[in-house]
Amino acid sequence: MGPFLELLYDVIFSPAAAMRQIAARRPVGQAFVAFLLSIIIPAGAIYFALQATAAGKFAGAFFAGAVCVRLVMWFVGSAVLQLIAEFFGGRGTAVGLFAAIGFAHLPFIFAVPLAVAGLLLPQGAAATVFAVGVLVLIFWVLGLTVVAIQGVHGLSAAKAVLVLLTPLLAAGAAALAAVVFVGAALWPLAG
Amino acid sequence: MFKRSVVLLIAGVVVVSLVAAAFLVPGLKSKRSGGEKNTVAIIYVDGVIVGGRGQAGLLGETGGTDAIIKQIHQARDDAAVKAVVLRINSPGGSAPASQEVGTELKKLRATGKPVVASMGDMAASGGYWLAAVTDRIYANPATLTGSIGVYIPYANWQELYNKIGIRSEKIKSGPHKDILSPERPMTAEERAIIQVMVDDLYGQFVAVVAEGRKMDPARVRQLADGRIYTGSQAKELGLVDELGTMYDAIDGAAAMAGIKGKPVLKEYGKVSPWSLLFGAHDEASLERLFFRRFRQEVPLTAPLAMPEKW
Repeated sequence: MGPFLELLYDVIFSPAAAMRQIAARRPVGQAFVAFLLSIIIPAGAIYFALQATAAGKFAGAFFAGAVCVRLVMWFVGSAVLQLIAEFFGGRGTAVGLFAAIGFAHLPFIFAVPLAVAGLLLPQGAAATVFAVGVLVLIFWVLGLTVVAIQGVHGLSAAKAVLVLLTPLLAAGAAALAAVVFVGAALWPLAG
Repeated sequence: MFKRSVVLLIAGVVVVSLVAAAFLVPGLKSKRSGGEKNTVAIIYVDGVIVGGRGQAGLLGETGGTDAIIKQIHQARDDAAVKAVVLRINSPGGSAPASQEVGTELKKLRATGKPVVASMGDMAASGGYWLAAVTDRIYANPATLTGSIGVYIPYANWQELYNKIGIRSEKIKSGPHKDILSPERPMTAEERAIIQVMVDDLYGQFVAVVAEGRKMDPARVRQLADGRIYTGSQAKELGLVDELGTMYDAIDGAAAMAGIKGKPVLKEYGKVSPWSLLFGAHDEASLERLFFRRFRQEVPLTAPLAMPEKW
């Protein structure tokens, strides 16, 4: 328990050293626990929030769905990033990256105190504070993912960012190509 | 040791937050609903009033009277709702559908919540039927209303069939089983049967108006020759109570419910982005009704409480 707690501290306060340590030790079990905490805690908060809305009856389904989808995305996302990192000259292992990305999602546990702070604030301010807070958390997790790629694969910061952005750029390019092809196919019909 | 303490402190904050969320949210829910005590619900009746679910999508249904009745029940069961405004923009529809919604409106009124009708462009025939069962009717001076009456549409296409060489035959279980068939002229006996039905429905309509408007049935029959009236004509004749907009109707409903100050408005039947995505958004339209009739999806015998032309 002790080393795990210290690792969690390092992920939050000195991520570069933590990710290098994770790359070397590959603590998949601990990463699984950290990732599960980062899913279950915010999903639990959203579950309570949904209870107060008309969508309350879907809260349970949302909770189960969110946990399953995030676990699948962790696995698939790590595999995709591993492949891209190797294309960019990365030397790390897939298991190391899988574990590091699991830890990189840890900041999402702060979504709960953020949500509670939002509940206590007046309605107008709450929405703004919550939106800004969630954005900060998302960028924090993205930053940790970049550090994880760097730490595991020994890439430069720029290359690590590129590894992270490549799936997005590829998806954007594919969508653009689809629009162009579909548009070209439908153009004669428009006339 | 320091690192562990910090992580445990963070864990403590997160756990406390989670527990607080579990307790705060239900409190917030009751607090918010408590803040909406003085609510006036608005239920929209748009387009032709037809029975059934209208257009059903994955996340709800709109159009048919089932959706309107569901909204009436929501307003009845919502403790925050103190009064209901029925916003009518309809040329009418089928008599049974109008009657069913009218009955549910009466039940809503029986709970002590006042129901006020606000007429838009048109609240004729079946639309007026619904208005007649409310506590107070608001119409704009130019609103088209009235058309109190019932008809059962019937077409005789025999001559056309003869021209194009179609000869239709039926094996019937009884002499009147194919009454109102478009393939042959109606007999005098059948016409009498249908006329009795129409008279019965008309009598029910007149009774609803007489009871709702607290008018002498004989006087209602004088006015109920099927003609349409403008809002201001209807006001003079006692068919509506006030001339005014929907917001006048809301103020009137709030005053009837004893709400002081501005009421909170709750719109029922609002089209959600989800229902837009999943298709349950089209209101029932006359064209669609006619199209369905043409495709024999609704029986031709549906007694209609709406103007022949509108």
